[in-house]
Amino acid sequence: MKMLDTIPIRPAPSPAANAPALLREIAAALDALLLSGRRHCIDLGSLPLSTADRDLLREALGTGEIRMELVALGSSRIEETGVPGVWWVRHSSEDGILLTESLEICHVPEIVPADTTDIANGLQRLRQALALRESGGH
Amino acid sequence: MDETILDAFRQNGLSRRAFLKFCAATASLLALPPAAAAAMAEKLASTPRPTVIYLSYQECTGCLESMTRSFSPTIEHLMFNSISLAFNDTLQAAAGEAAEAARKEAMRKAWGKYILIVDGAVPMGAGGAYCVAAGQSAVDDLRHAAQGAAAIIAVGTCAAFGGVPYAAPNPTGAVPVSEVIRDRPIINVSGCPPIPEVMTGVVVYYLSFGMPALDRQGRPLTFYGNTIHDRCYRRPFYDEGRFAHTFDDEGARNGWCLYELGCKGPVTYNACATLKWNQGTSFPIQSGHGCLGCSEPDFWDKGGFYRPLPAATGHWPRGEVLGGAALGGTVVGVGAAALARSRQQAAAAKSAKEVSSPSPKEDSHEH
Amino acid sequence: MSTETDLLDFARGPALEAALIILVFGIFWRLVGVLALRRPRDLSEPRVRHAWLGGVRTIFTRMWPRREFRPRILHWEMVSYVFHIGLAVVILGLVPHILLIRDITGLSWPGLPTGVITFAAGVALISLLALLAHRATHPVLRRISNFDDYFSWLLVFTPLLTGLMAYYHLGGRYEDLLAMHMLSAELLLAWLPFSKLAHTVLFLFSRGVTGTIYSRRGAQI
Repeated sequence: MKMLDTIPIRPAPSPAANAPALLREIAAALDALLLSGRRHCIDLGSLPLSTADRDLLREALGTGEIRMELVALGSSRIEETGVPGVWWVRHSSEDGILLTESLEICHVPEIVPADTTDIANGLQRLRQALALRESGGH
Repeated sequence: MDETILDAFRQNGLSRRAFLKFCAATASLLALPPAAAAAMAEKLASTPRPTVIYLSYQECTGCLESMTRSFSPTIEHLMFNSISLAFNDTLQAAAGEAAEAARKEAMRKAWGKYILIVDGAVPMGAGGAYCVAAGQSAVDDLRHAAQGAAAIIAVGTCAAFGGVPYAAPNPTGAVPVSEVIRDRPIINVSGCPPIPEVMTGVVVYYLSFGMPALDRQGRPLTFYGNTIHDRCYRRPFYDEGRFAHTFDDEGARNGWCLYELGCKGPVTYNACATLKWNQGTSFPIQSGHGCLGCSEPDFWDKGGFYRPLPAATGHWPRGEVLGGAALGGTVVGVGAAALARSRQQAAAAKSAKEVSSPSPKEDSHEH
Repeated sequence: MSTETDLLDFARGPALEAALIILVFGIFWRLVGVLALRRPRDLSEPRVRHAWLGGVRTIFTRMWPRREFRPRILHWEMVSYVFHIGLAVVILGLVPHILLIRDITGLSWPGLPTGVITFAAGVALISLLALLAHRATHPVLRRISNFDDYFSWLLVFTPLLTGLMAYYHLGGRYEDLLAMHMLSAELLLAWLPFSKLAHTVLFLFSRGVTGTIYSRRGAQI
């Protein structure tokens, strides 16, 4: 350990190697979204991203107007970036471990809108609750 | 209509959102393109929840212990949402006659469609008598269960390649699943134990996309496509020629390559170096110990965990054998020389005779 | 179980053992057989006191062509040197090779970075190809070349090539290529004592003996 202290540590800044390419991919995906409405998704976990890469991405995309928290099988954060149509999605498990991190290029991430079956199930529950209320209101 | 995987999610009070999240996390784990998550979601939403029968033979339960520690997808999600685990004698509450009856009933209902997970090798010696449960030997049990299986997942090195029971001298005549069953697709998920996420990931992959692409050992290429060595963070030290020579020298402390200490990373196909263990915390090499090669066939009998890979595997006495070869060579060499000498002498005597008697071929012996 | 791991195990196990036994047996056979041969007795008066010193000298003087021959053969001699040095760096510098030698003999020394080894192997391969082309095109050399020359060339070329392929995973799985590399190298070891490749050991003795004989007669070669 004494030896370690004598070594001058000057960590070389790791270059932002992948962020520029990613930003170009995002631009192309936004183009496609405008033209044909096609959604796109980039799995950040599968790419080797340095801290500089992340900083550059954050800086270039900025912060947008919407920030959502999804609570299903643990929490998830869904944030719109400063570039409308680009969403930063982070899914975590019940134990708070990051499962996936992705950028979704779309109007709204698919996971956000309520699903028809879920709506129907919710409606059913609501009707049951109403019926219970009415029957109990006498 | 059969209950689908999405239905199972809903019945457990989970929304479609949770289901989509599960698919995204799994696709990411399987290193599939993000678009595959949507395809997976679509497929799983319409796929009937499959029955899974989990059978254990010559095994130590280490694989199941590992599997229950999967964090994405967790074994709970698998069991409660994606599959119907109809039989596992370690996890289920029922025991004895009740358990056997439940298993028979589940197999009968899903005959031809269930996924069979096999954990452990199968002893063939003494008519299969080394492993008997409920009056039936492992080999008969496996043969019967395999007949009704859509696919078989051989979990752990014992089921995939024979593993520890198969190691020399193999007193029970243990064999891997693939030597008992030849007419069903088998996915080998090897490792001692396999990485938990690999086991659950393979199950989900199979449900979503069917049979994965396999390597020559029957293992899914998604997880077993690269060697530990090629994905190892210590690989640059190998290329620079920096090695740990003992477990406590400077090289070991500096985290240099463990090749000289017997690391089997270069010939071991597994995902330890990328997925790692215990929720991505570490893997053996990161903890300072070489890879044992536990996901490869016959890893117990490869000449020792601490013998460097290029060393000879045989335990033959080098000095004696090579000394004997030298001695034998010397004897043959002396014999050959003696033979040549006696021929030379005979030739010399003959030519001397010719010289003493008047001969016309006077310069014939001068070459 | 599977053929490919079996092949590697065979290469690391029985094949290696057999190759080493044949190598040691063969070298001793050849060496003792040659040294124990009857040589014609030289009845002349020795011109120098320690003729064997001339023998030792010859071992070194023969390492470089005499002035008269240089214009004709020096460049090919250089290519040959490049090949031999490259091969020596590969054999003695690569850590897996050192570990194998340590396992068999107990001797060990530090290794070289794999970049250096790759370079040396590449140089050795290219010079081997050049030497083969030279042998096949040179009218005299072609005349005096036989099966031994070409087969020996092949057995030196193959381990170098398969070794590089194994390291860079070119054309197959690492285990298969490594098994091929080891098997071809083992074939080389077994073939070595009985071919012109025996010069690895015999060159010292042939030069020494020739040098001693001529030195005794007062000639310098």
